[in-house]
Amino acid sequence: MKLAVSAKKTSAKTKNLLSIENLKTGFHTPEGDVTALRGVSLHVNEGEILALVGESGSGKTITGLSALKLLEHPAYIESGFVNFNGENILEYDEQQIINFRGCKVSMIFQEPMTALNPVFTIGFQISEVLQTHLGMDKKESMKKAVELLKDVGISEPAIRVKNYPFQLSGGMRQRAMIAMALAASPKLLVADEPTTALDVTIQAQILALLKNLSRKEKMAILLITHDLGIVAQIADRVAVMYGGDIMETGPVKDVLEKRKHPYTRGLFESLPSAVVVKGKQLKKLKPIPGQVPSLKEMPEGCPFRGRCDKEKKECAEEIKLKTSGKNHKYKCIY
Amino acid sequence: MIPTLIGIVTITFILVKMRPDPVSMNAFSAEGMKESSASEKYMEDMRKYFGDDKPLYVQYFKTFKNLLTLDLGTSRIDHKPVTEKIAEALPITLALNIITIFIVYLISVPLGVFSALNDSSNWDNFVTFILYLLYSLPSFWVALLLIKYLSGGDYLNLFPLAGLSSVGYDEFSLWQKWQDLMWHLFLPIVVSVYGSFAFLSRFIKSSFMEALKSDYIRTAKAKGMTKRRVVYIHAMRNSLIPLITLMAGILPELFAGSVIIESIFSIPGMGKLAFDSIHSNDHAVIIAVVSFSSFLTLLGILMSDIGYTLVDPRISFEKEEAA
Ligand SMILES: Nc1ncnc2c1ncn2[C@@H]1O[C@H](COP(=O)(O)OP(=O)(O)OP(=O)(O)O)[C@@H](O)[C@H]1O
Ligand SMILES: [Mg+2]
Repeated sequence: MKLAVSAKKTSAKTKNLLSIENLKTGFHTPEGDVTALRGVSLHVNEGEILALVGESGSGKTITGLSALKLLEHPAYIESGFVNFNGENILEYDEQQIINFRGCKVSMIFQEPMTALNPVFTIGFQISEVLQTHLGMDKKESMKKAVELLKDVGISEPAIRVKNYPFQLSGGMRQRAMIAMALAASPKLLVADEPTTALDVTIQAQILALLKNLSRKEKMAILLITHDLGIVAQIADRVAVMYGGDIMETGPVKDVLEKRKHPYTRGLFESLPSAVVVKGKQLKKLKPIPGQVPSLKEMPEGCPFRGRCDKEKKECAEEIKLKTSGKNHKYKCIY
Repeated sequence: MIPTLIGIVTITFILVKMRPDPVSMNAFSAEGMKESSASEKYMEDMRKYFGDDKPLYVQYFKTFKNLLTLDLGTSRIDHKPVTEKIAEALPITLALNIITIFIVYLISVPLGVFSALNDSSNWDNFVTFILYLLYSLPSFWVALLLIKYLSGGDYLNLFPLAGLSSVGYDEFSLWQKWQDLMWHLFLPIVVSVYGSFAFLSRFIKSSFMEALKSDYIRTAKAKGMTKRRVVYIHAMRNSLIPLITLMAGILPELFAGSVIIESIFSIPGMGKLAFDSIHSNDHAVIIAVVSFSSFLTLLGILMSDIGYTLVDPRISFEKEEAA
């Protein structure tokens, strides 16, 4: 691999914690290989919350997993870099990646019901992280696990630590997941739709918790979601993803107000929570016509062009990145 | 469990009574001619002695009474109490099957895990091929081959032809006795073991691969757990739990297999007892053997249920909370 060259380039920028550059991934399928990410570039600065939004199937989870080098067969990486603190983690060996995961970067998942191992206690699963990454012994790590559970707002942590996942509610499990993810004080948390499976009041609590923890621990979050309402609430910057590519990215205020890309507009107008975003009342919900094409049917050029009402001939060609304002970029011919 | 047992005894009773009455059957020669020596009077007496003269429903309830009081009557063939016959045969069959289960698990679990971790590799394909080959060999055929080539001296004389003990067994020291027993049991165990590897190890393979695909495995990897820890701690525990239930499923098969194996190797266990008693139409023994085997099978299922609750926190705790 000839990836090392560019890795050095990014290490100069100190504020930059994670930067994914031109990442191309695909899947081996029985019908042949398909491309999933078509050259994703994004970065997360220290301590900030970057929201990655997009419809189901746009490639958000794959992007998140690649930040921990968690893509596994049948997924493959074609080209690109995933740099963390200037090091290309895609080149890490087995031992390096183990020291990296859960220690520098953690991840929590959409389904708190299945993401915890059903046959081990919460305490066991948290203390495991502490023992591996901080070298604590059993007793010490159990004590620390109780503290961690308390920090994420679980009541009676001393009892809960001995509970099995099935004895906890969905919201509590997600809190336990967060406690586990934060155990070794990582610099970055990848949160893959952490509230999608929870009911609305719990959602708000979990989001508030994440935001607080991010501030308190100076931990950056790559927050994957399909809900622009959540983006407006807690993110600093946002990246809008579609068809395995970033369509628009920039500070939340710029992106949500300017909405340069037609897909961002469509997303904004089609989500119920957009009705109350920033107090602006939208007239009517307007769903984006059509569906996300399957990976095999993804069109050349702009992936959104089949569903866009402003499609032109040029859309079939490669789209250049345009700039609007300081850090606000988008990929559209308009 | 109780209704199942009643059902099994009832079906056995009906099947046994559908066969010709043993007394009159014995009185006929192979050609079907009535032998002169068996007078009507003698046959009447014999029927009375075994209670076959009573109406069927009386015999039916008597069967249950006998089972409940463990007074199982006497064998028609050697006039020994059936209870005694079973007490002699049962430990042998139990030992054979427990050793079999132990060996099957001991070999199948690592094989299954290996295949899961190396899915579709050449080694996995090779192991699968061999296991299915073994699976498809009929046990009576393998048993006869083994006897022909490994014992008796036609080719090799490595193992005894039949039975459980050598001449002079009673004077052996304990260690010698143990050695002698194992020597006699070796071939029977080989025969009863080899066919079960395929089923069990494929089961473990698929349940292990299922576990490896699950979300909590991804979580464990995301936490930075080592590959070994992910596989042998996080996936293992989950995929071994179903094995406990499986054990109950294997039991009836093993009991059925004992009939063939014990008969071929002349091992005086429950299987041979069942085989012989059916042959000689020994009603009391048939009913007793079938009832006991099914009782043991049900007991095995019950025990595996209990084992399940001990290992799987989800089940044991639900019960605890309900109580
Ligand atoms: N194992 C796989 N084999 C083939 N294609 C896959 C596989 N896993 C995911 N994909 C495809 O990759 C694309 C992106 O998937 P991804 O899970 O990243 O989407 P997502 O944006 O996270 O969606 P969601 O909101 O539903 O979680 C989808 O089109 C999906 O069908
Ligand atoms: Mg996803």
